[in-house]
Amino acid sequence: MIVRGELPRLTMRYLLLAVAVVLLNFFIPRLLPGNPLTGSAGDGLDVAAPLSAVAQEQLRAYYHLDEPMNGQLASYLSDLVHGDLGWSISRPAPVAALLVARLPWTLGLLLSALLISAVAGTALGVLAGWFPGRGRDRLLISVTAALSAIPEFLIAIGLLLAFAIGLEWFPLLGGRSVFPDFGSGVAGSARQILDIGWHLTLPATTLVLASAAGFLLIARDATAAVQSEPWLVVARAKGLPERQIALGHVLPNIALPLLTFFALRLGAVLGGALVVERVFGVPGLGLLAFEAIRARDYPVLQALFLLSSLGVLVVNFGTELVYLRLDRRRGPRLG
Amino acid sequence: MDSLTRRQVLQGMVGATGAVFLSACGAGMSGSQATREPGANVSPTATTAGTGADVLRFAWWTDVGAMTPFQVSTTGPGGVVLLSMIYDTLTWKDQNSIIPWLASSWDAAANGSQYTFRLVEGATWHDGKPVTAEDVKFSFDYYAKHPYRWMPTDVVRSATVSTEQEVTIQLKRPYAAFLAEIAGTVPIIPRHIWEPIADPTKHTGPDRSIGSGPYKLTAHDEADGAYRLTANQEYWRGRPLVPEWRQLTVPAEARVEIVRRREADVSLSTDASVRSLLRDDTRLRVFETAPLSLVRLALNTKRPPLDEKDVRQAIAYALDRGRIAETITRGPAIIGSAGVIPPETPWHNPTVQKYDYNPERARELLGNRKISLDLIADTQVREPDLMQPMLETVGITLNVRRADAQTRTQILSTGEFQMALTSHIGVGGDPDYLRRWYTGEEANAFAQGSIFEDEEYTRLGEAQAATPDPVKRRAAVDRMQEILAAELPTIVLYHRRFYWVYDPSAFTPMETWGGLMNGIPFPNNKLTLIAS
Amino acid sequence: MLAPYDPRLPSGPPLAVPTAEHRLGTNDLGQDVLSHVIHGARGALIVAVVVALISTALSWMVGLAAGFLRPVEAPLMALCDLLLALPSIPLYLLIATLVGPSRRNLILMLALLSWPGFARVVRSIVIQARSAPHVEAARCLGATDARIVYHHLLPSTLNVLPTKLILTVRFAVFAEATLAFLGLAQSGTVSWGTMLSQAFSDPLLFSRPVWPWLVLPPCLAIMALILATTWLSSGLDSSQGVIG
Repeated sequence: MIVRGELPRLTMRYLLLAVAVVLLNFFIPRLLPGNPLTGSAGDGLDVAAPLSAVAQEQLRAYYHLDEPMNGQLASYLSDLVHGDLGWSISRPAPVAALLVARLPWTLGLLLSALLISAVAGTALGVLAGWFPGRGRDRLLISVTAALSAIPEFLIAIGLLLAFAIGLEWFPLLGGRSVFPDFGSGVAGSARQILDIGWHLTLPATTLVLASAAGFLLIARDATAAVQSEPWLVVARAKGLPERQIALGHVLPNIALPLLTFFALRLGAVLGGALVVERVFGVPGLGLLAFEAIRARDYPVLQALFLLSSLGVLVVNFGTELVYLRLDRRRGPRLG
Repeated sequence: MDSLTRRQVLQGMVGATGAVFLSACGAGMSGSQATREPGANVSPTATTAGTGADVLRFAWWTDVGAMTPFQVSTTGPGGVVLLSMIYDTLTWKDQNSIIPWLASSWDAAANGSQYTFRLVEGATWHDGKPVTAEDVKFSFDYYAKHPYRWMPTDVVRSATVSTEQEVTIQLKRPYAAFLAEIAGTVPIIPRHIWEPIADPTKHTGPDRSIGSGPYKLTAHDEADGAYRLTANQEYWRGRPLVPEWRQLTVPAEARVEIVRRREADVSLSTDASVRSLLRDDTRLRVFETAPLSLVRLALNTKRPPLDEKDVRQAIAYALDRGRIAETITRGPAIIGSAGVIPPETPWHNPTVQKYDYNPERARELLGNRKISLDLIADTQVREPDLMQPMLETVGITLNVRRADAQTRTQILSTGEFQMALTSHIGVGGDPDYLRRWYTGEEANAFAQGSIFEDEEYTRLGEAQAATPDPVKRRAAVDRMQEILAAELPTIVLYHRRFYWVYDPSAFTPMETWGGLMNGIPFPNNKLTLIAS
Repeated sequence: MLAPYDPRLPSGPPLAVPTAEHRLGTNDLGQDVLSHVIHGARGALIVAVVVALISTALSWMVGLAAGFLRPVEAPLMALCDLLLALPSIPLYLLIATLVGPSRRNLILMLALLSWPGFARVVRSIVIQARSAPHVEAARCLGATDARIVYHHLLPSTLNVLPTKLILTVRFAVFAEATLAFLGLAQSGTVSWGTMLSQAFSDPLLFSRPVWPWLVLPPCLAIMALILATTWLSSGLDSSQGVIG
């Protein structure tokens, strides 16, 4: 039962936040020094194009970069209202098309990694917390601590070195084979899916290793905490099998903090996994952001930041609605 | 490319020639999306003369945009070189000189301000229509409205068609670099495609990549940064040797590894030690380009103490440039020519003043003063870390400000700097850049920060740009290099080669006179890919 | 110092494997790797500790203010939500590009962007404590606001601060290393992040036999620092040791 007056207030708050996000995302990329018309290739192969000053002015006018900030803002907002994200400056495509091409990679990679780490982390966490302080618990906790002492990019590079460069079990880079020939029909689609899975195994493993720890520790602590609850003692006394106790009794009781943590991670999905995408060359939103920052591609940066921050806001809004239903006192949340 | 066009192209190719470009070509990289189309799954029957490969995979490190002159990426040369395989230019370059291409011959007016080109017979666009003088005229007219970002054509006043195969280009002023820089760089585009297009930057039609070159674009995957070009069997200048050319996007750290794993056939390393690392590899070879690149300090000659020539020279003497070059390129040092134009390139003047490492001389020139200098450098470059202790020993404190390349360009364009470290190509081709850098005519990253005024230099710059006489031009360019070497508005630390790792059974690299087009260190001149 | 060489000066041939003179070999410029690890510890600790202190102080103050001062609650929490909504790594990358990755800028950036999460926690603790029976009682007995804050609210919030400190140390070390890996480290400064950045900026790194000596020392140093701080915090609630 939602408290009267609470829902409009919450909605209002998130609407204001969304407006603030839209404005912020316009200004942040434009603070960057440099301009989108002078790219840099790096490696001493820097722009050889002797772009003339006249042409540069022509191009600035074409992309409305010569307009005053408020004019640019006005056209950005009016385009946004019409659902137009503009044209990329560094790539000859509409921003919306760029995002649509990359969204499946990011969603596929991050959602599958998130689900795997949630399930695996929770399962291991319950196992560890079942007999707190025993060997299994201590082992799992130590492994978790060691894993969380390694930055994500090092996990990624480690996996790449071992399984792609060393053993050559997995491809060096990319999200799929280039210009593949899988044949047609069901077998073709199956081969295509297998190919993508083969490419995404290492990136997804990296993400699972980097984020399963959170689920594991939350589940472990919550499980350890309920071990002395009377209902659990009763359930045990009734002689229910352990598996049934775990799934039917313990899991529902520890679900709330796990869901909170899941929501927190879910919100970040649209931001892409910049580091992992960079290491494995997965053409997702994170890699697009990385390249857009270097190229000062304002329209792309705007849209990317907008997409990912709106994603967080939507998930947060949903979470708060759930909280309102679940708990009118609104207890402390995990930050 | 929509599937209909692709199918037509494929069927046409398979039917006409029996050439097979979809055969297996390496683990994990075989085939194409187009093989889902009927008629494409043909087993290999024909092999090509000259090279044994059915497909050549070229590893580059970014997506290079759409294959039109208006949408190609000009961040680095990867895009325009690919473009040169799809489009033709009026002239081209081989190992030794400028050669005729779409123009079979030309006449220049005595004062060098007008060129009349006669086009080759039988050249056609990829859609079968003939290439005419109207197309050439249209191209230059269209570029006046929609600039080609790789090469400005402002110097062209007008183009007029006299017969179907003859076009005259009138320049605003005599321009000696016209044949190499503009006629040899600017792609000729089909009038029938582009005439109705008002905004080529946002044109996405399936016909946008129709050129007259040896290869046709058949697929481009933007997210993967992958391109597939198939041979234009009707090419007017000769049959392409390799049925299919692919360009792949490969991040720097995987570039050599991917050739080693046979997932690409040609790739680039900027590091000389690739030769020793591949010494045991019996299959792969390394092709060294001429030193078409340079790493240099741009000095702001308007800011004390850099307004003093002695201080600029002292910096040159204080730097052990040989050691800097060896440490960073991990190969033999090619110490920077003080005249800027690199050795082993057509316009280099070997007699200019040299500044051999001599800290004693540096201290003398400074009069044992202690000075402090600010240097802007890219975030990750290593040269400043080596320069700091060297300058310290002669009494110069170097304060390094790190910024990314974009930020550096921005700072340089405002003139609010003392010294900047920059590294780029585009210096091995036509030498007119020596003039343009210092006139403020160019707005690109490496002309920024070129601040230097010298009456004789300016006069010579204008003279070499205008003279149609190659002997006089060389004399002027030689003298300009002498002035640069004596005055040092920029100190070239060293020149760099590029190291192309390739599989010799699939590809024969080619060195182009002064670099491809305007000094690009790429080995895939399209001459090496077509039967002569 | 303990370091055998000045880390800023070349002291041997570049990219050499370990010898008696250079226990961990040399880097691309011929500088001593061991000296870099030793000097880098100082840099890493400075970044970690300063970021942790500033960020924790901010979290705590903002959380207290939001929990106790009605008029500022909404704007402060909105600011938190806003900062938490922006994608973190792209944002850091963008700001580091904007201000330049000097150590001071890095510290300021990480400190000023990492407080919102814990500020919320502090606020919710304050709100809980505010309605706790003993605080209600004190209020009824006529205690002033200041007295209530000092005696009743402060202590309950202080308990979570050590966790926050340790989490932020880890965050700062990871962030510095990650930004360095992505190309935003200032060459010329001596730090573990810069060591990694220099190693990874070599495209042929893993083709060289010397690579473990360039990659492993800074990696192991980072891991050792993180594990040490994790052990420090082992008395704390273990789940908080991982949730950033």
